[in-house]
Amino acid sequence: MCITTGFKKIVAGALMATTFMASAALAITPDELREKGKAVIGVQMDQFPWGFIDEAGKNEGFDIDVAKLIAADLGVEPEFFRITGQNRIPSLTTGQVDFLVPSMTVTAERAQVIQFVLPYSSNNITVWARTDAEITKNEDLGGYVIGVNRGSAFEPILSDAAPQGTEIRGYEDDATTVQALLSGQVDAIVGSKTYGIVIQNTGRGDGYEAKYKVADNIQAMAVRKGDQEMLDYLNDFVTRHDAELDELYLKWIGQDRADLPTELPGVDFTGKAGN
Amino acid sequence: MIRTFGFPELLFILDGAKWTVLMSLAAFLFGGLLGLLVALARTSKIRPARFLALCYIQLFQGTPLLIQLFIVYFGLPIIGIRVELWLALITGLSLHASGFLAEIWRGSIQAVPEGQTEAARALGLGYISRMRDVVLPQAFRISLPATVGFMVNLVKGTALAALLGLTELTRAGQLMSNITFEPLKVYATVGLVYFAICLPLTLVSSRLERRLNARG
Repeated sequence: MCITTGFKKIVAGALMATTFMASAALAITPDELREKGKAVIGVQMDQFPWGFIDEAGKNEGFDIDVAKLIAADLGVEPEFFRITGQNRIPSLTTGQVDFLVPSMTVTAERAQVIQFVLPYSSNNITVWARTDAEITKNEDLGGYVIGVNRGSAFEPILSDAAPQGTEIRGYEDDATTVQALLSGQVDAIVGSKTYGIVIQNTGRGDGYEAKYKVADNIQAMAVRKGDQEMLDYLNDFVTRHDAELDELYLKWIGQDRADLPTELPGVDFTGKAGN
Repeated sequence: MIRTFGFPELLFILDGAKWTVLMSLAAFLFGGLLGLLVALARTSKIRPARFLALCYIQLFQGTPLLIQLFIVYFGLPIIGIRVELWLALITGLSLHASGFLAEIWRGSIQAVPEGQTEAARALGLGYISRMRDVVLPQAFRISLPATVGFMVNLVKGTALAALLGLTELTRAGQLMSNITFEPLKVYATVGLVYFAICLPLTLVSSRLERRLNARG
């Protein structure tokens, strides 16, 4: 455990370093993508049902459908590039992908290095626990062992929400986090509301329930800082395709898409504030 | 929508294993060629060549493989060189392998008794023939256990490619774990596949060792 934590720190450090070194000299525009006939889109494939691999080994999920919709609207072929939670930001800033359609939470820290597009989906951050655990608010978390996907946006939210001294255990990804709850290594986990689909599917849904919503998790696509034309295009896309996005959200997440904010503290969606 | 771990998932993992094997082979081939040159430079009579080879070995032995991969993959685009993911990985792994192999082979070359070189020289053999026909065949036998040990480590080291996003064996396992939500089954399978890749290496190595020793 200790070794992996140290290792993760090295990874995180190296990634931050590359992110800051990267310059904005890799600008692209929608017209250039049309000329090339394809767009390299960074998508995250380990986040069921947002993005996952289907039985034929193909990319599938909410984000994939959204990315295909963008490609069709642009009139280009989508080329999917599988990113991970750790490398998605450097993949964008160093030009390995043209833009990101990941299930990535908008945060003010991330907004300093990449340019977020207007939010296109949200995902309530939820506490899942055994039915008999008495958890209804943040203060109750202190009495239990809580698991979380380390490196995800849920981790800092949990650290803020939980009382001092709460025992928090980090896991590699969503699958191992849910597994930790089901195998009894932790009493509760904090993460996506879509964990519920997973827990139901294991056939043990009766023993676990959603306790309460910790925070909103607003998700957005991202482009490189300074790619103003890409940003304007995608902002316009998100606004124009409201109905289609609603439909896709209902199809994959099984609920209605919530009303999404167009302003968030510390995040500039217009790309104009800092320039 | 969530699946159980079955045949399609196994196929996906084996498809990832293909990349693990390809990366290992390429890294060993290119790393081996480069490593041999560096080992020869390290044992040569020319002082600057020895010094440069020493720096090279220290650089690649003293920095983590992960950082080397990051620098090749994310660093080169900053100075304007876009590299394909697999190309960056093979370059990074080859450089890494060359540093380690150079040092293993440097030791083996120096372990061949000095008398062998002197005798070869007395027979009037030039540098190339002396190395090719006298020193390196003996050094090869000495280096075999350490070389194979490093190869096995290299195969497992390719798992770092997962962090850069290549869907190799480990990453394929992660992706399947996140759709089947059966991490135990998935990672046990991944472990077995790594074992199946590494086992022939060690078997061939011990056979080769026996044969060479019997001859020697």
